[in-house]
Formats: sequence, C-alpha cells, structure tokens
Amino acid sequence: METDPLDAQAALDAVSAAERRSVALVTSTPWYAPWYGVTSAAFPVAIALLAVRSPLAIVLLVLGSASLVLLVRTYRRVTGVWPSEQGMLVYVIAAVVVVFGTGIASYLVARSYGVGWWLLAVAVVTAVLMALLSRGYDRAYARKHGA
Amino acid sequence: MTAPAFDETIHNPVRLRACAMLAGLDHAAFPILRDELGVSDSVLSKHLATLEAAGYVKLTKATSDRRLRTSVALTRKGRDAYVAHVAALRLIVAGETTPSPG
Repeated sequence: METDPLDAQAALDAVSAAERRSVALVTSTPWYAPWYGVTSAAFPVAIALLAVRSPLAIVLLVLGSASLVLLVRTYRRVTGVWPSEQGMLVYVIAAVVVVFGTGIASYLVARSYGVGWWLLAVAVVTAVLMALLSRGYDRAYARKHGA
Repeated sequence: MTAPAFDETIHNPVRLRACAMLAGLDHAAFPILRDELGVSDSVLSKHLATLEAAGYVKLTKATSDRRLRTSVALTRKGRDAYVAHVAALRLIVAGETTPSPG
C-alpha cells in the first residue's frame, strides 16, 4: 500500500497522542509516591530493630511487605496498566541502594548504640528519598516516552 | 537500532494506536485499552486477534476478584515491528521511500 506523507504524518500524530495518553495513565496517581515512600521506610527501621532483637522488626517487615503488595495491586486496579521497566533500571537500582544502604547503616548503629529517636529520622529520610525517587521515575518515564 | 520497515498489520489506525499505547507499558488491561482507543469490545478483540496472529501481542487472562481479566502486552517481535514502522512513517514524512518487511 502506498502511504503519502500526509497520511504518514497523521499516523505519527496519532502515535504521539497515544503515547502521551499512555504516559498520563502511568503517572496519574499522585498518591503512589507518598505511599511508596512510607512503605519503603518500614524496611530500614525493621532491619535496625532486628539488631536489637525487637519483635517489632518482624511486624514491620510483614506490614511493609503487605503494604507494598497492596500498593502494586491498587495501582494496577486503578490505572489498568503497568509501566515498562525498559530504560528505567537506574531507578530500580537507586531504590535498592537507598533501602539497603539506610538499612545496613541503621543496623550497624543500632547494634553499637541501641535504637532511639534517631530511627525516626532514618524513617523520614528514607520515606522522602523514596518518594522523590518515585516522582523522578515518573518524570524520566514521561521524558522517555515523549510526553 | 531497528531498521525502518512499513508494516501493513500495524498500520491500521486502531492497531497503530494500540501498539503506541502498549509500547511504553509492560501490559495494559483490556478495558483501559478499549476506553482509550474509543472502540467496542468486539472491535478491539478483532484487532488484537490480528496482532496476536502476527505474534505482536500477547493476551493473558487471569481471574481476579472472581472476574476474568484480560491484559495485553506487546511482544518483543511486536515492539520491534512497531519501532520499525514508526521509523518508516518518519521516512515517508521526510520524503524517502521505505522497504516493506519480508
């Protein structure tokens, strides 16, 4: 079939519009980043509590895991989509580094000095960093997919 | 990098927009795709069947909350064909000719 440049341009315009809609769907959940941040903060706190053998550590790990599963299920149900991870690996690695970095540091501090109010600061910093990473992911995703 | 290749299977307006939506996604729920494309269930099913027969999309059915839910994802082959087709469209707009696949 012959396609003239006008038809081709119309097709490209339709492609751009569809890609923008796709990005809008992926990034249409302002509640995702704070929920993700707060949930992620449970893990370094739980790891620190493991150092002092607090039973609260297991409770936090279970709650954090359940919240993460619920977050993903809710996101999928509300948006009906799941973004492609292609080209977004840096954000996944950054998230792992933040959670495990703060977790390991907190574990070492808790083992030497015990737990205290500083753990609240760890939770807040982790939550903020992870929420910012989530927002950064959305922005990078939108750039990558032309929105 | 994928070489430009005009693809008749993808070029249909509904299928092209479906591929464009799916290109940035791991998968999309059937009702979302239907609503975004503004077509009926049967029309979307027909177009997805065409893309599936070409090996361009994969349909997955799963039961969730006692309801059968279908999700749609571009395959690697479909993603490559879509990228090649969009590249071919750009060449046509630029006034160059493009090869067809096969």
